[in-house]
Amino acid sequence: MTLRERERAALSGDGQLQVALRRSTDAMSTRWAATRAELADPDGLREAARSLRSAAIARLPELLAQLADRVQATGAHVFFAADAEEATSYIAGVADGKKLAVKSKSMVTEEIGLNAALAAVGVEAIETDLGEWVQQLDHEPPAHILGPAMHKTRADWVRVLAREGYEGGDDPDAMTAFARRTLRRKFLEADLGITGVNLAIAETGTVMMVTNEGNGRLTAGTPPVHVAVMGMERVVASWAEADLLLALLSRAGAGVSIGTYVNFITGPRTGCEMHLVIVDNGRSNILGSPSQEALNCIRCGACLNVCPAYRQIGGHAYGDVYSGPIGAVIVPLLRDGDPELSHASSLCGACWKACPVAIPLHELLLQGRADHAGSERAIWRAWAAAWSSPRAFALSGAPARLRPPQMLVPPPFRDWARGRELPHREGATFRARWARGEVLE
Amino acid sequence: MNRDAFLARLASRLADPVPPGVAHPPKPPPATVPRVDYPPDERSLEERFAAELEAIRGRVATLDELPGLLDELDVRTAVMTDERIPLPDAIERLPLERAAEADAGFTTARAACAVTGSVVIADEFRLASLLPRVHVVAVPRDRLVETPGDILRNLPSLFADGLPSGFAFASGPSRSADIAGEVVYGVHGPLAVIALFF
Repeated sequence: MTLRERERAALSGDGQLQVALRRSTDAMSTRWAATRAELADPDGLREAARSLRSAAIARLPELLAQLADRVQATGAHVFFAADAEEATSYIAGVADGKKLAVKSKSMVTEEIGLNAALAAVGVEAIETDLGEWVQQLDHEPPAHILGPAMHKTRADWVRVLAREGYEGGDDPDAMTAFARRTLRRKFLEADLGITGVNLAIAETGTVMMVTNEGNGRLTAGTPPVHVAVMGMERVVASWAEADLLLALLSRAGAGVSIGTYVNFITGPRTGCEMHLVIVDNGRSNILGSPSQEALNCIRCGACLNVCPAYRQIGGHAYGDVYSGPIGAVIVPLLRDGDPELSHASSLCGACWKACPVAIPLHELLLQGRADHAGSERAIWRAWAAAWSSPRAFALSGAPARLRPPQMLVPPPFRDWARGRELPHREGATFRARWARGEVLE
Repeated sequence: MNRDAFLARLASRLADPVPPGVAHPPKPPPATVPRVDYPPDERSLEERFAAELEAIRGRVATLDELPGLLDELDVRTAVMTDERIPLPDAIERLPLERAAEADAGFTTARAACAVTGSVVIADEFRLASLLPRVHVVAVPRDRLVETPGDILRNLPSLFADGLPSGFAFASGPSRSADIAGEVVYGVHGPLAVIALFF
């Protein structure tokens, strides 16, 4: 399906999707604004965070080397994975011979398709974030970076949980209690815990991981083996940077002053095993490109919440695990994927205003369009050349006297012309009036 | 892929970067990372901690209030990582390895921060603070600071012998808004958090 078809599918429903999106995204962006106001100088911190993230990305090889050295010094294993295949086969190797893995929500493991790779070696992987779990049970990818099931109604939840034996009503507390009982057993039985990484602190080799439910702490800290998977860009130099970014991430993401559980893990627990998997998987294409700043992203999801396109079409219409403005910027760069995603935007700039590290996403979306302009670029070039010549300019103005009906617009432009008024001219052109000496009167 | 090849690819991408496609590229980073400051507040740190913890559905209690609160929460059994807070008489003590079935876990925080109502829990107290329905935490007054940065930017004062394999900031009860945007408590961790100063 093309982007246009997925958009139409999202917009042609009964409107429940838009109701659910508006409710959740409004709540999150309102809380971001409120918690931002708790800080003495939020704008100064945001600009500093932008500079510091950019500086860290520019030093990526050095910081990752330092991180790997420090992590190895704690007794943990470090694996550098160039692509999804390398990452998943390494983790499948760690998991081989085991039965059950618990996972706390991690976008990068969705990106590399880890659950399927584990299933292939006979390891069952169970998501433990409430929203991610219900998405897994419903065989649907997450629809939002932070609220994976935000498009689901309570009735949807009841329907999906029933498959696991839930018999109660649509009371969220009852459903939560059911999830707690069901997943608690999994935590205690699991052979392996797999988590994402919000930030990795190079100076001490520490992994920071934030969850509100407590599943991250149980996933990393209950089974005997912990595998942490990180996108390579999530490294910071120091604890001071981690402190700054944590303050912004918690507020912009969940709209809280601090995530309920902020876990700092420096090496394996006594008698246990830990692996840190550092994933490139296309990120290095962005490095050194005009869009390098996209790597500053800390995956809070704030840009999704304010995006007029996302708020109408939802995450699934983007056709990738990364949706919203940040997805529209990085997906085409990561995977030579759909260049059309950079058109899923009105370029209003609300994403940039909401971004806690001030990534100018609207400009990067334009850059994305420029990267893949192709034949469109040739058309605009021809137009520029034509209008640089007086004779060609005069000729090109001639059809403007006509008012061609929409149905006569040739097919490649028909989508563009839909909803637009075609230009037409009233009376004589400026050039004609100038030639007749009317202009100076 | 081996580490050297991975890092060499990044270095080669960075060696000859294309100028950024944005109108206002980021400024050079500040010489020191700015502190995350909060506006001045006249209240004491203890008052602020209590207010912030209540705002996220936890609470501060006194030793006298504790038995009543635990009774309301129907706590019959508890695990204890230390003896800082005496166990009320009516409650049965379980050994630590039975944390998963206990109603309450009693722990002591390493430190706490006022502006977020957070307690810092060392890893050896992880399960006692997380598995039971109720977390009762002793908070040392002399380790109560203003912001998370006061702890994160000064870790050697907290862990003189080097960083432990794990520690966590825990702020109020476990919560989620995943079910149709409704906030629920006690998802995987405690649904009630009671802090006592000592």
